[in-house]
Amino acid sequence: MLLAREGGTGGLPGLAFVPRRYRPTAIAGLLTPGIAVMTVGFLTPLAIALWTSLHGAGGWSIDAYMALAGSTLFWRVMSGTFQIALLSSIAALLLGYPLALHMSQRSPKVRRVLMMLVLIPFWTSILVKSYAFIVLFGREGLLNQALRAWYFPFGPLDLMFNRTGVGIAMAHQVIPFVVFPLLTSMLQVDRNVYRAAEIMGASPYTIFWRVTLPLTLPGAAAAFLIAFTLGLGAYITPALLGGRRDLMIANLIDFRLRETLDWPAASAIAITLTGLVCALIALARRVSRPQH
Amino acid sequence: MADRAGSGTPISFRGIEKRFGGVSALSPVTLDIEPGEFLTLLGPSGSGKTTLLNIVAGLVEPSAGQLWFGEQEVTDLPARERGVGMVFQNYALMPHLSVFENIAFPLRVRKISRADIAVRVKEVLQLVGMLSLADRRPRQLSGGQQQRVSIARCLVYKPSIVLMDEPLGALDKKLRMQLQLEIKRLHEQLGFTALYVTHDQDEAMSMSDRICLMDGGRTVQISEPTELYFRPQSSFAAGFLGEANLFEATLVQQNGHAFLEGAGGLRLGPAPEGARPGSRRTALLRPENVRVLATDESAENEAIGQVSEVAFFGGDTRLTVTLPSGMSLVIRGSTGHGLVKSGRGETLRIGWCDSAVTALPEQSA
Ligand SMILES: Nc1ncnc2c1ncn2[C@@H]1O[C@H](COP(=O)(O)OP(=O)(O)OP(=O)(O)O)[C@@H](O)[C@H]1O
Ligand SMILES: [Mg+2]
Repeated sequence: MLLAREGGTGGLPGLAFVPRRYRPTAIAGLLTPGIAVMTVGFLTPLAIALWTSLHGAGGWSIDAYMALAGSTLFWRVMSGTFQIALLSSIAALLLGYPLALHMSQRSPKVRRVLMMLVLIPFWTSILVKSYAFIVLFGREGLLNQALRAWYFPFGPLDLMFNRTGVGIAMAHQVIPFVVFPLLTSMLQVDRNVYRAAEIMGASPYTIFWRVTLPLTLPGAAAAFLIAFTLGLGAYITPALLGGRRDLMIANLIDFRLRETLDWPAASAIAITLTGLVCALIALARRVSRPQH
Repeated sequence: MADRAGSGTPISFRGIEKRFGGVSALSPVTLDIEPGEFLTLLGPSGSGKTTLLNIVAGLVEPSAGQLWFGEQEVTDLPARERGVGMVFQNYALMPHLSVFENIAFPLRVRKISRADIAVRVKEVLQLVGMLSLADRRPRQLSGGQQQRVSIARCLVYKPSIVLMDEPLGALDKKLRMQLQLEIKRLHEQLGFTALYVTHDQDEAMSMSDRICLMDGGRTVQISEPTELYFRPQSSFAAGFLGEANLFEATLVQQNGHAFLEGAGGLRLGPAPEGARPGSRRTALLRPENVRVLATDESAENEAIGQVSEVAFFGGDTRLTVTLPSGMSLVIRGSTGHGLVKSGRGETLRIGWCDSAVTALPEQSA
């Protein structure tokens, strides 16, 4: 009688079945719908915008871009947009990282519940969320009322209809986009690496700084990039919660389109923004290439 | 943090139990491991080997019982304060650090000076023959090389207890043999107490001072490899290590002579001392102890059977013989000692000497 030598429950990592290659025709078939949607919904309008930006009243010209370069309004809005996008994505990252870390350490069951909680605001209309923010953070909002009740000396705080308001709302808006790439990169770290570090004598603090953080940095970079790009293109949130002087790029485009009817200028701004975002993504990909 | 360099620390399990939810993974385990001993936990999947090892590491908290390292009770000591070393099956190296930095990690945690770190890391790299690859990242190494690095990382802080959970499980046969020898050499050279997990019986027998055979969360038998192989205390132990012919035997008294008799009146061997006539026991006969008899040969115990299966393994040949009682008996021996000539359907005379038969203790029969 020979008892079978059974395989361990430990298992080897990465043995899930992944077909090495699909047939080219299959790839083409799967890609076609996506490419079609992108062509009709994104590339065509972009091409039209590019054409419009280069096509003034008197035929081909780069006047629209020259005018932008000389416009103080454009540069002010541009730098304001970058600042808000930067601040809100940093805030989202700082808030999202501990959240993702917590989620990565729970059991899959608890994690699913937490994921739903993160996704609920994501599924809620921006309009609804913006009004909710006014109820919470407005001059007569819940927060200021509470502060007044506690005799807070510097109230009421002006948290809405200015840059702070846009920042708060946008950070809130992009948190799900930050949490998921972070969570993915955290779950990819082999649990035994943490156990090994613990057995070797590392404190939780050391493990975080020397193991968790370096291993999740590529995920954090990806998360930041997504948040930042979303921030650059924000439109509804600044329109609803921003101050009059806190125009963002998207609102400036809208203003040119509908108020001054200067389509070449609007198109030139859109093309410039798109170009900048593409350049940023290219740069970020180069910098944060995964290390393993 | 304990840095008990030099000799190994004894480990003592005193009624250690583990339940996951309501389900018992370890029934009370009481076991003493000698300082510097190489003890292997052997058993089928799910028998609780990893759980027991993780309790020593401090990764799993026992539900009951005490764990002692020498004179110190460590049951509630956090993993990072136990100072043990551990080698994992999947290496568990840090992918973002070079080989050098991986091995330096436990030393940096211990706030050892840069210069000392450089010296000690070089030392262990030399010990495992990986000095030339110090700057590589783990993913640039083969499985065997990664396991060498993780062994080096575990030895660099001179733990007096080293735990290994199927460290060679992901490697191919040849590499396994090579690393088995290296681990054995390191153990002899450094003198740590080794607690090793495997479900490979050959590995367990060739490396261990003692083997703790486990089944269903219970320790079945704790003995030296030869003892476990030749004097198993249960049919589970007999069947788990190597191949075993197990017979249901009855103790028969004839002409003032007591012997074990199998089905069909087959004489298996002498009765064990002190056994009552008529009692039933399980008798073990290892396949390599059965010979095919030539016409002029005889043996203390003989049988006639028909070959039902022939398997050729190069140096060894394995025959399955059906006895007149219908029972199958496996014979294994060197090819060329009459074994390879036998073909299927052939009738053979086989025999074995009295000392080849072991009666298992009564309670396990
Ligand atoms: N975290 C856990 N939660 C629930 N049950 C567990 C857990 N870890 C182990 N078990 C159970 O405890 C028992 C012993 O598991 P253990 O991993 O110790 O077995 P093993 O002998 O190491 O097996 P293998 O050879 O497959 O690695 C198994 O029945 C297993 O399902
Ligand atoms: Mg195991």
